[in-house]
Order: sequence, then structure tokens, then C-alpha cells
Amino acid sequence: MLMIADYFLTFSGVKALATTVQRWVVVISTIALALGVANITILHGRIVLKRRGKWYLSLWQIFIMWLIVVMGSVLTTAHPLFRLLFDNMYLNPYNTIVTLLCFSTFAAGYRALKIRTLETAVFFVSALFLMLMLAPIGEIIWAGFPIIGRWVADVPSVGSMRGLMIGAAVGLVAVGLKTLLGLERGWLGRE
Amino acid sequence: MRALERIDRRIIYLTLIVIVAIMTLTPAGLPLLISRETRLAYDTIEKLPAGAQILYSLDLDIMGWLQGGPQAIAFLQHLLNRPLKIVLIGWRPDSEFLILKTLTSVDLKGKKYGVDYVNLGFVAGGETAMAGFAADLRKVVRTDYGGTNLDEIPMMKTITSAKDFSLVVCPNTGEPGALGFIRQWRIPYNVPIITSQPPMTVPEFVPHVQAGTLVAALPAIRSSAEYELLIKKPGLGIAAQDAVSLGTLALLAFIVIGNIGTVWASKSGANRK
Repeated sequence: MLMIADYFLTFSGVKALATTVQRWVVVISTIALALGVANITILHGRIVLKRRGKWYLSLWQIFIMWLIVVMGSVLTTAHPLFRLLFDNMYLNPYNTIVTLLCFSTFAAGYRALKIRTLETAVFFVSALFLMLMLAPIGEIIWAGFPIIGRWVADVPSVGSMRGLMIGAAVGLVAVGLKTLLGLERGWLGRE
Repeated sequence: MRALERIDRRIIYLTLIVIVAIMTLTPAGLPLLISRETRLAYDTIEKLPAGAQILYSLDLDIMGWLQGGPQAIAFLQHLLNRPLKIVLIGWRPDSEFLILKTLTSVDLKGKKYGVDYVNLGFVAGGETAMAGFAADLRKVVRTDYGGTNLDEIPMMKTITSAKDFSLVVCPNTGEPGALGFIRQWRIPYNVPIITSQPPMTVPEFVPHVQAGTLVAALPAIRSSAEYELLIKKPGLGIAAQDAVSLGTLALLAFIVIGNIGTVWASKSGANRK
């Protein structure tokens, strides 16, 4: 209620109180990160101590996590050694794994986009124009691809997205009101 | 012909690998048209007066760096090319590392830290912190990334809240990102926002562009190449476009082949009946 009041009212007392609460959120969020590290250490530490399943992966997880924490704290995140670890053990391998998704997307597109009904035909034609709008070769093949693709992106796609957004926003207001009035108690663990 | 409907996925993977490898090692240099949105974002930054204060909010995660990284670098390079004051910040834990990575990927053009740009690093708290930062940034952030008090940094002496910023540039994936800025910066303080997003999430932001609450929402991969052309600094964005083009054509070819196989199979089945 305080945040809603701060958003719509301009009383200095409300603003000061809201600012204080916002600072508390920043502090709590920072502590939550440390809590997350502690939780992961406890969770995987139990697995290592009991030698359950692939416990060596849990040991590796704890080792790497604390290595990064200690190095970041002692050397700072701008240190070349930390950057080397970050780039070569986190960023690049993560991006490599993510890139593998393109293979499954490619194969899924081939298998899934079979035109059997009118709806799938419309879906395929829309996807065709959108893909060729985004790929530079589309405008080389035919100047109409980006024009029609732009229309598909700006008119039917945005129209349906707008409907979804407004529907979700109305639902969110309803849930928010129920929560503030105490009618929705699921977040307290009660039904 | 039935085999067209069930091509071994290893052939599909091998085709994709060969296409991407060839196009990456020997790019064809296919021409690229600049879209209306990229031109609008570029012109908005070009028209900023000298000395304007800009918030550069890098809200990419590690997964988003692949798509949004080239655009993030292009945005920052453009801001550094102009006589602007840039405050860099991130609201996601990965942002801090990616801000440093972006800073090492650009030409600083002789700009001085603390005078022309300052890095505030990662600020925890998501959209709540964003709102607090907009109201009074010193209530949320006291020091820069290196621990220097903000009052000791020359360019931060005139910056106290969102009202002091002329523009927010926000390459992002996920929350809080551009939507948080719309709610906490654009609506209350009328600060214009330019964002780049993964292509599949751009439709979510186009209503905001049409309503005027966003200046532009750029689809990261394609727009990064266009932006690199505009700022005349070719990079990863342009390098990827040939592979994107041929990969798209290959996917469409496989889809057409699969559909030919499906039609043939259904006709053969009908004939037998």
C-alpha cells in the first residue's frame, strides 16, 4: 500500500518512508545472494558428506563457487585472472551449451512445420515472412519480404500481444487487490 | 520420396555446421538494409546535446550475451563517440562482469573515467532498486564499482535522480529491464528509453513503442549489424549476418523438403486405399 501511495501521491512523508523501504529491499536482496551461496554449500555439502549419487559433481560445484567468491573478493572482479576464469569457465562454455540449442531448434522446425491444416499453413507463411524479414538475405531475394514481415510483426502479432498484456495486467490488478485485502493467502502458505 | 519426410537429424546438424563454418570463415558480405527502428535509435542518440547525461543499463545475463552482446557494445561505442556523460549500471548479478567486458570491447575515445563515464556496477534489488535510484540515487548507491564515494566523482556531482538523465539505453533480456524502466522511469519522470531485446521478445515491446513509452525496441541480432554499419565499426553483429542468412535459407529448404515428403506420403497412402 505504501508503494502504491508513493507512486500516485506526492506527500514528502510518504516519499521518505517509501525510499527507506526501497533501501531495505536493496539490503535484503544483497543478503539473499549471500544466503543463496550458503544454501548451495549446505545442500551440496550434505551430498558430498554422504557420498550420494554423483557426489564428485557437487564437490566440484562447491569448489568452483567458492573459488570465484574468494577470487572476486580478494582480487576484485576487474583482475585479469578473475576475468580469465569468468570468460573461460563460465561465459564461453555457457554460450557453447546455449548454441547447441540451435541444432535442436533446426531439427524441430523441420519436423514440426508440416502443413496439414489451414492454421498450420497460416503459421508457416507468417514464420516464413518473419524469418526472411530478420535475415538480410530476405530483402535480397525479394523486397516484399521485409515489408510483409514488418506488417505481420506490427499488426496481427502486436494486436494479439496487446490483448495478452492487457488481460494479464487486469488479472494482476485483481490478484494484487485480493492480496492487499487479505482475501488471497496462498503466499502465506495457507490455501 | 517418403524418406524426405524423415531425414536423419545428423544430416540436418551436419548441414547447419557446414553452412555456419563456411560463412563464418569466408563471409560473403551480403548487403544489409538499415531498418526504421535502428535508424530511429541512432538518430535519437545523435541528436542529444553535448553534455547530456545518459544511463546505460546493461541487463543482460550470460545466456543473453550471445544475442545482445554485439548490440550492447555498439550502443556503448556510439555513446562514447559523442560528447555525453555516461553512467553505467546493471540490475542483474551477471551485469557487473558484462559491463567490464563491454568496456574492454569498445574504443574509449580518450574519455576519462569519472569525468565522461562512471561504472556503478551491479545494484541488487531489481525494480525496487530501480525505483529508489530514480527517486534519489544516493539512497540506493553510495559508491561506484571501485568503491569511490559518488560525491568524489566529478560527473556525479550534478546527478541526483532520474530527472537529471536525458536518455536510458537498456540492452536487456528478462527482468527488470526495459519494462521496469517504463514503469519506474518513463511514466513518473518522462525519461526516454531505447532498448534491445532478443528477437522473439520484441513483439512484447512494440505496443510500448507504438504508445510512445519506448523510443525503440531493437531485435538484438539483426539490429547490432545495422548499428555497426551506422557507427562505422564492424564487429560481431555484421560477422554473424551471413551465417544467419544462409542458416535461415537452409531451415526453410528443409521445411519445404519435409512438406513435399508429407504430401507425397499422404497421396501414396490415398492411392493405396
